[in-house]
Amino acid sequence: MLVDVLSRPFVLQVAWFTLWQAAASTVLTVALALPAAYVFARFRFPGRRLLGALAIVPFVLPTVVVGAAFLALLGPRSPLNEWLETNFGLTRSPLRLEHTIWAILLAHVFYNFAVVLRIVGGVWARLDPRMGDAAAVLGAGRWAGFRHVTWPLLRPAVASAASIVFLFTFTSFGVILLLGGPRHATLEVEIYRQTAQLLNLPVAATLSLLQMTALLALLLLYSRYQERLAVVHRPSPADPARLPRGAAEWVLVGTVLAGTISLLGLPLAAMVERSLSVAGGYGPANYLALAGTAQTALFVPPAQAVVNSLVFAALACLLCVVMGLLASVVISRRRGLAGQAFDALLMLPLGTSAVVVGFGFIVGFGGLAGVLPLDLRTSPVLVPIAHGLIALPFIVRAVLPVMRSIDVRLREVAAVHGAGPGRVWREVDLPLVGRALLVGAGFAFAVSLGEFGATLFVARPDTPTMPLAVFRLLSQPGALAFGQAMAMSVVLMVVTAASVLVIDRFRSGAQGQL
Amino acid sequence: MLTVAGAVVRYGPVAALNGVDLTINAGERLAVLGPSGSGKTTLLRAVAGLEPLAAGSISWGGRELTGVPPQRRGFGLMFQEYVLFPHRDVAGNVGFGLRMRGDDGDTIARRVEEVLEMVGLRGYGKRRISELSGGEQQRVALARALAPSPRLLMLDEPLGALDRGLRLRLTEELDELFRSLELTILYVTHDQEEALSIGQQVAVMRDGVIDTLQPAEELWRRPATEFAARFLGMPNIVDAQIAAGEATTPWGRLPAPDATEGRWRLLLRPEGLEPAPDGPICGVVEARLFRGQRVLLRLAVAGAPPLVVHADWVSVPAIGERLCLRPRPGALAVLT
Repeated sequence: MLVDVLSRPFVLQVAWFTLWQAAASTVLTVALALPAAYVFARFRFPGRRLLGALAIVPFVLPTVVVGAAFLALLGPRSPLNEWLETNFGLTRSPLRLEHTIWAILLAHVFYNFAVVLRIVGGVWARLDPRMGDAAAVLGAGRWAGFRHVTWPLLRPAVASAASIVFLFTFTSFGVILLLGGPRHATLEVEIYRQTAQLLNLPVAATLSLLQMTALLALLLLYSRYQERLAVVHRPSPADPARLPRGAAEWVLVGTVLAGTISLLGLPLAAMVERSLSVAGGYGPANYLALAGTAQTALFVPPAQAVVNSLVFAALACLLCVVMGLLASVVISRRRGLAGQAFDALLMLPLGTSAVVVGFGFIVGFGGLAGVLPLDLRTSPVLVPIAHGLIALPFIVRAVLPVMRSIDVRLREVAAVHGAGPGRVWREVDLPLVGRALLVGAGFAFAVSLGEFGATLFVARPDTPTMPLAVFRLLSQPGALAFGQAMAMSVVLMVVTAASVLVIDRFRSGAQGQL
Repeated sequence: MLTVAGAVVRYGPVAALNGVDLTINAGERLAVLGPSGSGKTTLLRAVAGLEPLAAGSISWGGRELTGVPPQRRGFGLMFQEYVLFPHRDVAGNVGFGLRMRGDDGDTIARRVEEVLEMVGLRGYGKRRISELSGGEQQRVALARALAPSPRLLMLDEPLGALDRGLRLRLTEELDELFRSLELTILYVTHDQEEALSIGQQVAVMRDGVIDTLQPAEELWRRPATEFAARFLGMPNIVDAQIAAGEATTPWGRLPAPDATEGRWRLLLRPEGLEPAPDGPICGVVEARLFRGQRVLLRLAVAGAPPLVVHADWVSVPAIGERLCLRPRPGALAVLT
């Protein structure tokens, strides 16, 4: 069965497409983000901090919002098309990118730009600028200095960022489902199609295994490569950024910033514009329709999706905090093999994809249907459980390092002063871990709000979340559904961005690894 | 010959160099001494071509260097904290300049061996930078700067990060190396002993300008300015009236046989005083700091600023005791 499925030509085709689109997206993202990383690391300019913070926004957006934004910008209803049609009297939309590979690649660049900007830019900013000076004094010109000194020192960061981008784009689901059309399918999309549309569970299961194997191999490769590339260098203490000098540097900074702003800003701007656009002008009609009970493509009023999402996110968050805290205590107290094994086990959801998790849930709970008292497959509880599982690694990564860094002597002091073990934990550990826990909880909340891949499998038709609502509205024909999808996407974007901003405020004092 | 004339370097509104003039002849060693923030490092960076001048000029042998990028100046610079390339081994660091110049592999290997031998690191070529001690890193940085045989070698606090014992030994070694190679040296430090032993000439910097530039021994014996004297650890400076071979100071009347008559700022050297029951300066010991070779005293003199004394004599009085002193020959210096 396994060999039979794997040797079918369409499987090879899908695997090949998954691989090369990820490679192309990675190359493109790195190529476009490197100049921005340089400009942000080395130059001071007005609005540097604000722009740096805003550049992160695309990365935290739910995939359906990214898909919707690029549909708004590049699809048949793009404001660009409208403008071209009215001004040149065209009858057909001239710009049709929505089912092309270009839309997918651009959306991936948009989504992962911040990964390269943050990782490479962070290392670049901490590179002692005197390294370049030393090379110059020893006779190296600008290019030679970059090639022989800066680039070798930057390479590990670039490799690391590129691997992460590759991993993300390899498992890309929502973006490709929305933008790829019927001709473009990654493994993720194909697993979904085989399950939901063709009801071919054996093929879907085989593809899931293939996907997991590939991901584990990638992760192994990544960690091996990471170690080999590590270069010990003392970071420079101060921010080395300076004002640009001379016309050439100002032009460079201006061009790179203009490019970055258009790449990251235009899709979102188009989405907001479309959400406000109604027949014959602009107005809030699309948003009002969301609040109303008028018949839509959904089985429930759209406002219900917002409520669902918030409730699910809160439950997932709660589940995650309890589980994450218990797991962190166990791992941090139990050194040695058992602790390590448990730690690795908890990271597994990171090494699988959301679609595989969703698929696993329905297959797994399907198998348990006769055993458990209630059939979880049809229960809405499944959604927060799935979200909690996906978000668990994040919370453990946030809490565990802080918990491990607590000085044992603090607990000893508390014990000497008469606190029992439970009291010690409440008086010492919890207050110290609190901030990291809040950050982790915020992440769990944001992850749950935007989760799409697994939700598509486990959510019941009558309890859609916001991402599902966007997806269903976009699948409907007609300007009305499209406008509402845009409005729903904007709401989802605002809620996600707000929760991430709140996290960011707490984060400054926390010391987790996220 | 290096000539710096009216050099100004600005960081935004702040002038880190505010009109510096100095000359170093080929084969000469100039040490620049000054407190942190006085512009020493900026001076080196400007000469190296790493900071553009807002005004003034830097030239070598009469050839103006403005607009010549650092890689074409043929100067060597040993950075503070060394700034070694962490991704290259010792040989890769030392041979970097030769490689940039386009030397072939054999020439580079031979020169690297030669320079490593010179700094006492024979056979260290394959070591990684992270495996080296602070002293070894210092030598690698020196070797890297020396390898391309620069026409001017600049060193920025080369011994700053090392402990005192190592610093004394290395000062000696550096001096020997500079002499034997007949290098032209611009040496920056905040340590007066280092500056006085390395530099034939010593410039004292203050707020982005050269306060004094004197031969090392002259600077020590007769510092030209009050700032230089204080920075060298000689704080006993007062107004004095000199007439008929005698200086009238708040501390008393002191013999000043060679001084020109008039009103002057006068320096009384802390180490130039000895105990004498009938001495002209009398006071009470207010503070006493045992320093091994000498004892630092602060003497409260009625109606005068406290006097700092470096006592190298056998029995030094305790706090609260009364003490009378007389200046040794050469203890008085007139400042300009």
